[in-house]
Amino acid sequence: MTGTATGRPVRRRALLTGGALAAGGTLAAAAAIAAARSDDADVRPGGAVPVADVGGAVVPFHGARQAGVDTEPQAHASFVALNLAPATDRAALGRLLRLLTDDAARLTQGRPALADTEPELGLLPARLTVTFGFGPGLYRAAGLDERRPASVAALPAFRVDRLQPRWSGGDLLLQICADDPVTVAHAQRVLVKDSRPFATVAWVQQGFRRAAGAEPGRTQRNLFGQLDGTANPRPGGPLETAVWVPDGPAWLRDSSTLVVRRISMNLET
Amino acid sequence: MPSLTAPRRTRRTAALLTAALTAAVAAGCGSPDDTSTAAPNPSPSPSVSASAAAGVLTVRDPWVKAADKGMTAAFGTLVNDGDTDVTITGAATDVSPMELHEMTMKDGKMVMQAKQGGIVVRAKSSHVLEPGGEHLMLMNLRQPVRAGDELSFTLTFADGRTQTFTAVAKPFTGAQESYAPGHGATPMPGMSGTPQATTSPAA
Repeated sequence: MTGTATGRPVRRRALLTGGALAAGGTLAAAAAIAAARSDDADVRPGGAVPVADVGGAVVPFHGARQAGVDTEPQAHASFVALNLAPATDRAALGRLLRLLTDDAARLTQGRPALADTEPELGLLPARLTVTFGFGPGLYRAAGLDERRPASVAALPAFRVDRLQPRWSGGDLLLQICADDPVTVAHAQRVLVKDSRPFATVAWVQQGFRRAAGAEPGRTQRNLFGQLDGTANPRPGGPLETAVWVPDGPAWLRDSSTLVVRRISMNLET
Repeated sequence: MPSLTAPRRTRRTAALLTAALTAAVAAGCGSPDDTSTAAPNPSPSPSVSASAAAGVLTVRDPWVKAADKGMTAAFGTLVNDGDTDVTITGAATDVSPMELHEMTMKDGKMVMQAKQGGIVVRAKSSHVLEPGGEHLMLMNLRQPVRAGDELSFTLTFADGRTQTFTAVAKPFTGAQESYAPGHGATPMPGMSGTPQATTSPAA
């Protein structure tokens, strides 16, 4: 029964889990509207989606550019901002990144992390990407403040956005995305565990989109019902210069700068 | 999140962070590392996932538990691709005297004791060293083993051959093991049942 009064639970619910992310770092390679849509749920074939493919899908970890920036957005994300402990100096940063890199290199490829106490949870990568962002404090801790790109700095005050210290800043950002929420949760736990001797968690923002494969090739709607992400640049074209750093020193080239904008969606319930 | 008195559809921004996303996260990752030389080699390996290939054994996914002092242990999977059994009779590292240990049930609880006769890796098989099982024990650290450190280990085999491998130090609090009384050493601060973190400080 569709379309009847009893089938219209239009009561909107407030978000409990953080909701939408206007994440500059995860620019959607959103395809424009394709595929005619059937409004009749009854005629859609069920059970034809190869769910196992979702869990086993792999995004390469190593490459000239970090994964998770122009990757087709996954269904689930967690942004973890870490503040470095005062004792975390340049040498300690090397040890920290050695551990986190190895964790990410293994988990994104569907291999358990080293010393993973729940290795079974590392076997379904579901397009897991772990993207690392360096904040101003990390440049300082590394003794490289003079190399810090101008864009990596505290944001100015805004007229509309009301920034709160509780949700601001961070020396090291882990952007963890996958099409499966358990995969994201396990990767987050492993990475935070290995960060503990070096840093503390400043804030965590989780987010979600529609389930993987639920609405292929289509710009998804946010919880306001608005199409969200249609204008995101696709790989190639403007993405090459608007998102990726196209020139400058080799260590900076092919990097990007990320701003996380936390938006409270005030829906009536 | 607190609600606002603003109109129904309100977007409020509260968290912002800028961070450069540079591609090279850490130097040295990925390719397995061949450190299977006969002589002890204290120099660190560039690879976290260091494995000693082409030696007597392949040491896969080696790691050592980070600890400030006292005892700790090294783990990994020993792979014997050869046609004959291999017996490890000793292990050595620069930062501590070492012993080969096993966990065993004694009076209803798991305790640790020296592995009599060494660790045998059967032909064409693999042998797991893990928390709660057999392990390479570092008996008394001369210096902290910090998370992310890389340690070189030398295995000695029954036929006199040796092999080195490199293991990375992981923060790890998962194993709750207690040391068997009467086996000579001091209690194990890193493995004695307290849930508190035993990881090393950052610097």
